[in-house]
Amino acid sequence: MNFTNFDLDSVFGMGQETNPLLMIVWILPVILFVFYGQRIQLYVTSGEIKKAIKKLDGFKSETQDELFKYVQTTLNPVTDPTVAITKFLDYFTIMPVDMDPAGIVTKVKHTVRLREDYTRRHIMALAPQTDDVELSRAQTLLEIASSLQLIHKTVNHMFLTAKKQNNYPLILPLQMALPFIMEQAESMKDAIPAFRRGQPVGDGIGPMVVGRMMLGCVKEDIAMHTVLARDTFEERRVLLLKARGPAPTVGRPADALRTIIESDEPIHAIIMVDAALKMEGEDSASIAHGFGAAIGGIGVERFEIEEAALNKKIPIFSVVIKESVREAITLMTKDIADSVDEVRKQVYDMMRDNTEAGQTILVIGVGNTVGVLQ
Amino acid sequence: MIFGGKKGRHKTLIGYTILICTGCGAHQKRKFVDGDVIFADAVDACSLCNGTVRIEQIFGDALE
Repeated sequence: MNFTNFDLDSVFGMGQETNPLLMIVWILPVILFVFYGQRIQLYVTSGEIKKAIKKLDGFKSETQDELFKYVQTTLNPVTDPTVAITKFLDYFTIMPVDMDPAGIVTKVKHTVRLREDYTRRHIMALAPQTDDVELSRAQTLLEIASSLQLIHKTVNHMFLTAKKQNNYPLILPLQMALPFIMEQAESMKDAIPAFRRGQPVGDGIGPMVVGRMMLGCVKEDIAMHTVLARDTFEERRVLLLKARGPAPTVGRPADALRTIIESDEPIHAIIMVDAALKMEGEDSASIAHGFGAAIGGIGVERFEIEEAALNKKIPIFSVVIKESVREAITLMTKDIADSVDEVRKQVYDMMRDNTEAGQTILVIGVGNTVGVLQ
Repeated sequence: MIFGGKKGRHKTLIGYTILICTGCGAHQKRKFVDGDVIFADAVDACSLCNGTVRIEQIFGDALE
């Protein structure tokens, strides 16, 4: 074959003698992409999303198997729990209407507490001899399994709707959000072993710091799943508050704060210690200080703590330990565990800097206290 | 692809427990056993001074 007389123009039909066949070769793809471009993109994107849905389905089945196994082997239920648990997995929560937002927090609190108490009561009914720690573990596993089921259902629904309508723009938001959804789902799946075995998770750093400060103090129950201890530091009174471990619970710090305030105990400063999501590029286990209530969740606890602090004009300071989503809900890493002493030192520095002798400080260890005693 | 490439797989974490003797301060690291809880007293006494041993840390370390 002779390649020396190769003419680029004639190949692409751009020369003076235009080949109509080559023109068609050019024009056809243009027409194809103009009319069917979105559909082609839909097919390409569909492949990626289908893979993700298959993965989500695997996570869902895996966590449900773990949940059934835990209930069967640890709780020793009196009846077959499969039907009841399958029913729990499908429970949904309808949030209160927010067209008139005044008073919505109490409505949200009522709805969320109703769900918590209902699940707890019904797991208890399945296995009446279950202790509090096992009950909380089952409840946490149930919440994880239920959340993964909901994520799978939602992603599948969005994908199938876009496919059914052959609508590419409909699939775009899903494609953009999918990496974040998958990271969250994978972390939740990986959180199961830690909660099943009662190992501390990254989110437990707040309770761990306050639990260490409580060692040797007398503890009293102050709200559901929440304990209070009293200590002194350089002529200051220190109230230490955390969820009651080692059950996987975050306790009810807002209820506890209300009880303390109602008992006319004067509080001059609140220091909250919590894990916080790190930004990309930030180091894990780095410590940061700030103002305002450091507490996650749906917002009810934060609202109530802010409300109580505002009424009594109590300043709120925060110490946060930076972590990724994954680190927060899986087995605590060494870096995070090693930061306890430094955080504790900084909390004491904060007390020294912001209060005077004779004053009272409330230190709240916020987070899930699984595997952390007090 | 600018941001493409295979994502790094997450390392499998193995649970370890750090025990400290409240008497002599001796450290001991062992694999996590079900029932271990931070700040709880360990069942066995310190092998050096017979003092109370407390669970100080539980953490995950990458599988080597």
